Amino acid sequence: MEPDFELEGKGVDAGALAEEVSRRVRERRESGVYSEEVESLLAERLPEEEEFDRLPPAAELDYSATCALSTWEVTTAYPVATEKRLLRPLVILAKRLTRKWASIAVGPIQREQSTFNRHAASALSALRLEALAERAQALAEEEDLCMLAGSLIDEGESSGIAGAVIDGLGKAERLLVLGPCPKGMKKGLEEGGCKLTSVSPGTSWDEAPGGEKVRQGPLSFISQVPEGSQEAVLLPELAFWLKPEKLIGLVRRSYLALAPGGRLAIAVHSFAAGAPAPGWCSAAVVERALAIAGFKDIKILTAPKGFVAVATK
Amino acid sequence: MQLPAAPAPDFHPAFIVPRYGEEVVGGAEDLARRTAEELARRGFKVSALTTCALDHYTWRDHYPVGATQLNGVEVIRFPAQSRLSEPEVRRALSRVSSEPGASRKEQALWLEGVVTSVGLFDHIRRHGGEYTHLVFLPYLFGTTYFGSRIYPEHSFIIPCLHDEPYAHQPLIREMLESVKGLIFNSPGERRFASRLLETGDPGPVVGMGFRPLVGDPYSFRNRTPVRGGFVLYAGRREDGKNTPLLVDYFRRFAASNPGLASLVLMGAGGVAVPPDSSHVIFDLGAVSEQEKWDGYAAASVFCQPSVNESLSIVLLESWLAGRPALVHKDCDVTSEHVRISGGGLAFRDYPEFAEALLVLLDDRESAGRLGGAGCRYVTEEYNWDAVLKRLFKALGVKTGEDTPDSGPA
Repeated sequence: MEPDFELEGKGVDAGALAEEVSRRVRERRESGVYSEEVESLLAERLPEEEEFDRLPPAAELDYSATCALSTWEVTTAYPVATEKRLLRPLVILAKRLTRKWASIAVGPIQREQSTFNRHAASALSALRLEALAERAQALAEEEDLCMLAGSLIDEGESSGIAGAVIDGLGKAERLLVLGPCPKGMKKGLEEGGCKLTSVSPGTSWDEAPGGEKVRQGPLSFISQVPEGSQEAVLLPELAFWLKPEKLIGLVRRSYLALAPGGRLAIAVHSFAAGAPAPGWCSAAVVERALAIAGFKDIKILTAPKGFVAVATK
Repeated sequence: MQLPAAPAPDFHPAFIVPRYGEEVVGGAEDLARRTAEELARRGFKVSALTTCALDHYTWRDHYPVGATQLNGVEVIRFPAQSRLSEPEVRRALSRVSSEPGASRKEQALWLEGVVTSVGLFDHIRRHGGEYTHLVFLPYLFGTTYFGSRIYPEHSFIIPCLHDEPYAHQPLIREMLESVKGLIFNSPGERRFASRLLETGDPGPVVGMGFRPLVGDPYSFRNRTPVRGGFVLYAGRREDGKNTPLLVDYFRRFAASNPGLASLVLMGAGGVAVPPDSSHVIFDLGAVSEQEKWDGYAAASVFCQPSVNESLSIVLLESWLAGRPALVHKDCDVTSEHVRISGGGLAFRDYPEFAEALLVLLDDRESAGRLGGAGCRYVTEEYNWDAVLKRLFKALGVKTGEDTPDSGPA
């Protein structure tokens, strides 16, 4: 038996609307807004991609722990009052008797509940301390890497790399710098006309008011950036110097953070561009990581020392 | 209201489902309860045999054991047994859910483990003959597999089939072939059963009827922080229902089209709303029936991204509220609903999702006409009179009125 509904298309030309949708999708695909290759790559999201490098929720834990610590003790000794003036002594007496009776009746349960609450509040408090320590440690590690970068790279080399970044990115109104970035490079980028994004560690960010106060965002900041919101992102090599998996994760997350047509630059200074530096800082590996993440038009630009990899979303 | 030609007064079916109750969230369970209540409303004696469980993850007993009345239906509950915490059962479940080549032992272990009830089976053994029809649903639980083997000659199964690995297991196929009849919710599900069982006529399509509530969009707006147009999803929120995909697509859509619409999610289960989207994606959690209908009334578009549907009650309900629908093309059932009714659009990937949504949000007049077409479709094909006629015919109940055909058989 075949299905025999007889209502097809009644009252509205849904087929024409569906065809209109197909036409729009075709046009958009032809114009490059939707790329099938990119769509298929996006469909295969990396494990835990949403949670990439996210710091523990210290603020939420702080609020919950504070509330729990101030309210864990439950008691039956609630205040007794009345608005009835004439009958006040009688009502107060009745309420006190009720409260006494309630404390006898629910006393054991109340003590058990208080014990449970105390343990729960202690656990939340311990979690909060752990989260704060973890967050402080993560930020301190990034600051250490910044200092390390400063001692490894001389100012001349950084400005050369900055020039290669500007050449590779072309005109970028706003550039988000992720991870440790030497001062010399930031200076070179600003002198070359790039507006660097200033980041307050934690949850907020805005445009930098002046060159002196510009600072790079912590790596975890990329997990807070809305998808498709960035024009250009710069990733210095120290962001993934110690961990190859950071390279894959950061490049992929940067891909998601970039708007269509947005550009990513990976700067690799001389100390990391060749042996005995880790192999995953080499041009071939960086190029491959960019391709895996879904980038196209990948180019390796050689600077006087080191290199810059540039790619387009 | 009585059907023009009612079946004999001794008609007394029993619906056997793993969970039953107004608080239970689940398509098959909803179908069983609403059908039973509709029959009871029309004066028939109806029973529901079920377990005491409410939660389909833990199968912990929630309701008291014994008989009770719920909206005119006699509900008899028995303690549930589940072995899902046993490693051996978890392994069997994993094999059955991912591979077609699970052994018969593993399949049996899965069915024994997922949920059974010794008390329920004992009741069917002792009193099964007192019911004129034993109607089991859905197909993938021990209550249906073991229960339908007691009186296969009186047993009907409403399998609520999806094209998923469980459905391809030989034990399931044997069960579906052994009972007196199969009843399907939609032509798409029936076609799948036809392929699965390699038969041209696996059974008729019956579906279910609806009694729409009057939704109040103002009440919805007053209760929630949602402003402006929004896309609504109602139902269980889990991977199997493709809610993560909907959240992902909508994030991208909202980033490209700021301020155009929000996404509202209702229902049981968990959903991870990314922090960067909490201003455009609102998770209302489990809501009451009235609140759900208020949501339908206030929504601009209803989206059903699931590809595992045998009927999609929420889609049909949203049409009754006049909302245009957006469904996944990979779901035979919902895309066929949309194709036949002309009540919405379908998408397969993000570009199609985004463009279809733009059409529905931008062109309000066409969207309204699509919603109207969907409403007509549900009113004409899924009203209780038509559904019950099809049900009686499917169960082989003599009604005294021989209708040549009464719907999507």
